[in-house]
Amino acid sequence: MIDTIKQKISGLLSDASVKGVVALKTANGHVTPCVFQKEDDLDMLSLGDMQASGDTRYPLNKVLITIARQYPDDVFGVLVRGCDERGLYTLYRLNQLDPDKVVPIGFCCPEELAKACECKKPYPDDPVAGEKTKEIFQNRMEEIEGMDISKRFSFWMDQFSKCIKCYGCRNICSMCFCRECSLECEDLVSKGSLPVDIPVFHLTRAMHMADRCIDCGLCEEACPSDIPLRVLYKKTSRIMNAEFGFTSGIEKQEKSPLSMLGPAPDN
Amino acid sequence: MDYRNTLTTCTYCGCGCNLFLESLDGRLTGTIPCKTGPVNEGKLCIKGWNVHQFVQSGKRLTKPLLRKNRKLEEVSWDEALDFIASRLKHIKAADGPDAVGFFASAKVTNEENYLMQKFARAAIGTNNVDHCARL
Amino acid sequence: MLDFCGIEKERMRARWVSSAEAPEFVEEINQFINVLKKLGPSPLSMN
Repeated sequence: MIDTIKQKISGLLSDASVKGVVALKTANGHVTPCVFQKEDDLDMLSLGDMQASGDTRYPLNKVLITIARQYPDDVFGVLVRGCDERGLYTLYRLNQLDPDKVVPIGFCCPEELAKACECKKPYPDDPVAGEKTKEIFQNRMEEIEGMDISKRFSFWMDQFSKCIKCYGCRNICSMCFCRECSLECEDLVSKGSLPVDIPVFHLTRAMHMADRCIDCGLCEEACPSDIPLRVLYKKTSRIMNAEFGFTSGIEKQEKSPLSMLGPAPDN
Repeated sequence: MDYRNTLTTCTYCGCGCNLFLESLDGRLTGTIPCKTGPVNEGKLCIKGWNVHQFVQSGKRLTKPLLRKNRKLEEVSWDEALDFIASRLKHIKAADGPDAVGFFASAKVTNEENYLMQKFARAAIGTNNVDHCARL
Repeated sequence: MLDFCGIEKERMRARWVSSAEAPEFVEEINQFINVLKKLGPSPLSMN
């Protein structure tokens, strides 16, 4: 699989159709996000697999945003899994990236990874390499919905009180590109104290994720306290889907119901 | 265009979390926790997440300053070090070595901190050594 | 979302009432107070 991707990147670089390709490389025994600008460097290309597949995923879209803000007129390639592509579509919609300036180089995740990630679409629309595997149905949310209300309350309060307010969930998230963040607004979240304002801190973020979260799971991987953040954001996404028939990141030309005026579309 | 991620270790405390300092064209733009770092496994605390910020801070001291007539003035390293040495000698002679305290930093290496305590104990003769991460 | 986190969803209510509709506003608030009294103190306030 990696050879096919190398060939593709090398083709893009040699005919100068892109200025660089945002991807991962292995250097000094670590997997690192990087930008390939020379074909010779491609020996170091990594797909983000060390011990198990996908165990070193990084927010490549976020890297791309950083670069695109500085070089808005140049075209860049980017290595994408299913989740990254959902991120790209959402970032196009939110005007953070220009689809004409991005060349996605997609590859499919193996079944094992799709299962580990509970992935709703473990493949990009137009993969360069790999076989499309089936989407995985997630049941962590149903487990929590099955609890009675007081148990649910204590479950979440126990989880939220573990928070050390590192802002890692926000910092790692490709969808969190705002220059001003509500989580730093002192009217909502008090400054300099722990535990955080429960449940305001986590629910504020959950609300903001409603039409953005692409369910990639990087937040949960970055959480030092192992709070099941993904389940929380899955719930907001589920509500968006039930009310408006909307799932973020599935269609390239998507529009968010939260940015439309008028009656809710039929679903 | 020059985009780099430099693998380094967090300078805020002694845990030694691995992180990448993200830079674009020579300016730091962010911090990314290193997933393959055995200590932190892709996680960081709030200090680590913001470790890139102080590097380019305009408030950093870049030259030695000495207070003369109640005003900080820029002086040469030689003058600053001579002043420190003479004052340390003077205080040690007048009030004994325990009148001096040494505060090391979490932002420097183990070796530098070792030298600091060695200097305190061997050259000055005091055990008054402390550290900012103990606050 | 509140319900999912174990907080009764009846504790939150959004309704548009014009500034010209004072009686409606009073009625709404009174109703809401009755609902809240039945529910008792919020689980959050007991933490």
